[in-house]
Amino acid sequence: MKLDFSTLRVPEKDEEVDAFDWKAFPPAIANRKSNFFLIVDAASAFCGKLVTWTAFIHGQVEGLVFAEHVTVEESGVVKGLIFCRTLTVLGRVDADVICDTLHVRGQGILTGAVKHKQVKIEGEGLVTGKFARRQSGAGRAAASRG
Amino acid sequence: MDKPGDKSSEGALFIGAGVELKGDVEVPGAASVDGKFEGTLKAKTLIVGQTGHVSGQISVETAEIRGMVEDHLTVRNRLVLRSSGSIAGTIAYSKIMVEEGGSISGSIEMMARGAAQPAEPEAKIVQLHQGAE
Repeated sequence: MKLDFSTLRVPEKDEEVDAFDWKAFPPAIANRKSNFFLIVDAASAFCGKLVTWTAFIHGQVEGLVFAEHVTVEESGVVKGLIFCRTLTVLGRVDADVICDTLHVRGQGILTGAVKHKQVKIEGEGLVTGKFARRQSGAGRAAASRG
Repeated sequence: MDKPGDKSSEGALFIGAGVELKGDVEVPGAASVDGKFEGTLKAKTLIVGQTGHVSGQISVETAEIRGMVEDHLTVRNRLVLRSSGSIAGTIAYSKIMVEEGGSISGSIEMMARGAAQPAEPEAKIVQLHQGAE
């Protein structure tokens, strides 16, 4: 199976983020036939662009994580940028984040600029940085009128 | 958390739904807001009900938010944002819990513990190939 990543880029504007179609995300297409996922184990470090459907990060990643579902496990460290639908943080994230749902659990630590739709923080979770709630297109229009 | 009417909540403030209060207020116990408060508030505990709206400079030990809080919120101990709650502005806390559905936006800082505590010494990612410059 050959996936085409050539046109894949991280949306920058809010409208582009809203319009991003995760069903058309190449790894998600591949995943319809098999359950693919990626594990960066605790003994591994990765530097660069990571594109996958679901990522479980126990080790260290520096750069871009572009995935539908990302879990930064207890020993995991991510620096850079995370673009995803759901992000679960049990480890440490020092990155800017664009996501739909953010869940900080356990001893999770998140520092960065976060654009989210939903957030949940529990346990001993810690967050610092700039948080902005993403609005839908209609919500943005209403906000700009108001 | 203290509730208005509890014997333990002497020196409490209760702003009922439909009531608006503006000004500087210091409360030794719990401040419970179901109405609207605007100004400077210092209290041990802040409880904002679903209909409550608090804005200004807020400094408390603990806070439980079901309504809306805007501007500057400092919670020296535990901040709990319930699913119906919304916080927008500058937030400082020591411990935080946000329920799913709770809205949080603005600048968030942590007081005292944590931010300056890297969990473990970090291994450095080294680049295997560097271009000749």
